[in-house]
Amino acid sequence: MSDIEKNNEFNVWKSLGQYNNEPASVKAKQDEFMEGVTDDFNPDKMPAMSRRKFVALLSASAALTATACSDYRDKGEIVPYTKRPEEVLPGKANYYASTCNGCSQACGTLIKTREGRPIKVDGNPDHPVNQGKICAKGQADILNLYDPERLKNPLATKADTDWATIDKIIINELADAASTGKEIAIVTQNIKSPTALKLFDDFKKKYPTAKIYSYDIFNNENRRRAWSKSYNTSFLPTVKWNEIKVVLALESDFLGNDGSTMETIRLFTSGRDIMKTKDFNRLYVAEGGMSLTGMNGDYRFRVRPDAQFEFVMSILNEIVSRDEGLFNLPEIFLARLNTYALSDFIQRNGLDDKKIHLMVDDLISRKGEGFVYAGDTLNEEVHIAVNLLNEILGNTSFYNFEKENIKLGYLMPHSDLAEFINNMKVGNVGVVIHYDSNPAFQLPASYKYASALENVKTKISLTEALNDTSDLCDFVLPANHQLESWGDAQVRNDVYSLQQPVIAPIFNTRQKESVLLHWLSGNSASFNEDNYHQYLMNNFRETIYNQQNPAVDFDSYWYASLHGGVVKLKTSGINKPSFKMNSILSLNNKIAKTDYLLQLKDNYFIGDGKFANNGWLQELPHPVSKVTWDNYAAVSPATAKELNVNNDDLLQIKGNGKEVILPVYIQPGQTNKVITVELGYGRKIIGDVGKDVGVDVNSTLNSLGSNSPLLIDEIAVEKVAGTHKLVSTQEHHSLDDEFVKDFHRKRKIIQEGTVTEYNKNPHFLHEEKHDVFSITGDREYKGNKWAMSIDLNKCISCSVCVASCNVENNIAVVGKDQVAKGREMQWMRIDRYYSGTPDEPIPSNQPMLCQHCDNAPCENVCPVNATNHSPDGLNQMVYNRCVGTRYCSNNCPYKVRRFNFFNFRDHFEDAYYENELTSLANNPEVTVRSRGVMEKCTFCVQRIMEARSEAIKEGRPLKGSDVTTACQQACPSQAIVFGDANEKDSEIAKYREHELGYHVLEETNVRPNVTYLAKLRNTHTEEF
Amino acid sequence: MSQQNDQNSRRKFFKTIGFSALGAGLISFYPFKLFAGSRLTGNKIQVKVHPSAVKRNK
Repeated sequence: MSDIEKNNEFNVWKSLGQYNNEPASVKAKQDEFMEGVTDDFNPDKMPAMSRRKFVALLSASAALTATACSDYRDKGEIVPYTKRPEEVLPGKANYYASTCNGCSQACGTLIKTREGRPIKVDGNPDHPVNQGKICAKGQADILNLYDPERLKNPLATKADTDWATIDKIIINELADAASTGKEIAIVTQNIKSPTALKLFDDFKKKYPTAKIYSYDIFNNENRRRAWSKSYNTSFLPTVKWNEIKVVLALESDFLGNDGSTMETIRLFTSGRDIMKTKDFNRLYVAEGGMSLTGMNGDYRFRVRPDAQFEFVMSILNEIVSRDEGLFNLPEIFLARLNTYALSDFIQRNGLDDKKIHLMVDDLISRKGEGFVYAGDTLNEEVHIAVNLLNEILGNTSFYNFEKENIKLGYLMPHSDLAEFINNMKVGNVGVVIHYDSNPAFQLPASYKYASALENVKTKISLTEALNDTSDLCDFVLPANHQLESWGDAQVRNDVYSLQQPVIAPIFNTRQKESVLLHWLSGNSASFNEDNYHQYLMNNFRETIYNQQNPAVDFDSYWYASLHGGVVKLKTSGINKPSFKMNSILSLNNKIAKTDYLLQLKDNYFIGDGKFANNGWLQELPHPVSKVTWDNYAAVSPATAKELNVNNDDLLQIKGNGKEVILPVYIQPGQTNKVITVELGYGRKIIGDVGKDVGVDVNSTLNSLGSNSPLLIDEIAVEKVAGTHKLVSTQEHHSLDDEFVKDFHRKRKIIQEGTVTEYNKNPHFLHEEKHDVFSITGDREYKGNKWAMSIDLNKCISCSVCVASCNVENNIAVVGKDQVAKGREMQWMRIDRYYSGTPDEPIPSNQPMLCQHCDNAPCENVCPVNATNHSPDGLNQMVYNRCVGTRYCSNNCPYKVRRFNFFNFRDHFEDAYYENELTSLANNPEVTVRSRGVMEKCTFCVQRIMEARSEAIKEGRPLKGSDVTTACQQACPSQAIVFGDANEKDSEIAKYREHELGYHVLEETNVRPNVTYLAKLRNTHTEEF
Repeated sequence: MSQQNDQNSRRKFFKTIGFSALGAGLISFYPFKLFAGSRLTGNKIQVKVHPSAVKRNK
């Protein structure tokens, strides 16, 4: 153990700089401001000026202000709402159920509108899959509706035109292509709408040369193919995550972005309930790059993604060799299995022998209680081996054979895609319609999609905003945003959901399905904007209403379905199919290489690049690295040393005949020689927000037909000259721990234990508790007293709460330059701490927000009483009083106050967010703050006030359960509980009294009202 | 006497002018424009509730 490791044995650290006690990190903790922030304000560097000149200038400027200056901002006019639609009541929100089409999960949504404006998207609580929760992308998508760079009119050869002209030309071109035998290609991403599929079928009937090409970079095709081989059925069951007691996740980020995460998070974290610690589940994770799931593992092993096959086979061999009569495996396979020795694998990969054997013992001793789950990016062979492992361990009862993950549109095989591109090259394709897709950016560069497209006569793009593919097209047709569109979706056999428009199209746009339907009619003159609505209703009648055969007429059923947003279908599952032993005979001997491996991943917030122009998502700190506004090459500390690189240095990666240059981020816990990069960045044709953000790595993708398109081996990696500044919030708001060793534990910032420790002594956390006292009397709260609890056992640090808070509270986007100065405005942050070593770190997450202290130190120092205390326990901000002294921020021990150094809407990208359109996204119940004002979490006081007025109207007292804060509503693991601490039987009161409850920095006696429930790690011993 | 009357009426006149100007200034500063609805909303982005959407409670 090195000296540094010895010094840090019990310490908690946030970054490698802090771990190594680097002077820059130590200085950053000691200084109030970040480096460079105060440079412009140094009085010594200001030009000298005489008193007379100063007074003269002051007088002149005062006179000028008084006589000539007008208000710099147009505050708008208030006009009478005389033409009020029937369903709108001013000041009262309306809600609409719909379906999100941001990704392939099709979550049910509940859209809040005010005076006709959609202002917030949450999950639909009636949807059986996502049950009221939606991811950060879904939350922030509201900004895409009001994106000033949305297309407003159709474009023909990049000039504005009208729909009638374009329709006429395209209908002629389609007819011409069909009559001359030229192919009409519709290029789309994964289709989850049954009605859209029917539309494509109808399109193919009308134009017989039409073909549909569907692709998705991030898909679960390997899992599907493996399942089909192992069980000879296409019925892919869902997983009962809530019943599993031991999980081994192999390169699977099932809590991050593998599969239906909102459901998985809810089910998995229900097994980490502190009220039932005897039933706690245990999570083992083996992965290459540090993922959200890996951060939440009780044990984590660093395993290269391309070594996962060997790892599974080694585990299989170990299990089979311990109990030969366990499962009747073919001799030929057993002979092959014998070549995989677990001890060899452990040695070659530098794994902890003791921990690996604990895991294997656990899986064997708890047969039928555990589950092994491989990630979508792993190849088919790994999935087949995992299917066998689960069979051998008797874990298949966790498959739910009543609920199927269905797949409507078949993703095109690689051979079809290659043939299509070749057809374009030789001029056999007459028309290409890009149906809300961007293949020129997303497909591997080796496909040469853009050059092939040049040979197509008519190139069309149906898109919401310009992208890399639309730039190559003759006709760019503006499509409606999803909140302006009709639609449906089905991703489960028993759930069908509807999408309805909640706002009429803001611009001269059309729903993309309507456009195709119109072209189907062959008559360019008469466009019926309600055509897809009618088409959807007809299909609903035929496929849902007639099948379900309800006891009500169609109209009633249709409106009821729209009202609820979801239809639960009567289905029957299947019996568990038997495992096909011949599927394992094809498993080949595969030993991972030891060279560098490039692992490409789905970004948690930007996705495949679709959300790259969304400032809220760009600025949301990465859940693992906390980097904003960039992608990067994540490398382990040892690999960084080997490559002689440090953070922000540039790394050149050559693979698949392409090269990319990326900044380096040294990620604790990263597997050596594995370089992890996230996709979706570096789009060339995009709005101002996403322009020049990150590096395009899609070009290096393997062929989509290969077994692992996202794992690239045989790469050359070298350091190149130059640096690129990455901005991470990881070290922001760190406290000075110079004089207190093991500060974070001693000052009760991070409090943790193990399940064993807790079961032995439930009070272990408070053994060293000191009495604290105040020189002033306690404040008495006679009515409600608002309080929050955050269960760190359930919080997985997905950051959905932060995204929801941003939308609810009109949080400004400040840009990378301001985040670099520590001026991010998010009212919530998820603090990340590490303990252990940089190679084997143990991460801890902690959502941090205003603690609404009873003895709030910020209140005492405000000279204008702008921050004060309400009778129900809220630490309030009166924006109009605030004069911006920032004393409150200095005095806040939690560093949760945010100051508007600029009018950030004006400051960011030439006032990108200060326009009439974007301001429509603002919640009218929350003041839009301007320059010079301090702000912070309000416990969603606007929601408290709304609930209070409802209670008054109904003549009853306000209850804690009447109020749900935005973060609480969004949290998919239900880690956040909010309520009235004075209600003795309430959930919040129960958690405040729990043995695991603690207050951060409680010895300062500020009496915070956010209770944290200490994390318990479910390790095998009392230590972790 | 008449000179004094003239002076009074002049004073009253300027007083009226002064208060009117002050009042007009204050009213123009006030953001309510009760009779200007159609003119002001003419160039604004039109937000329309979709006529076929079905609303619900939370």
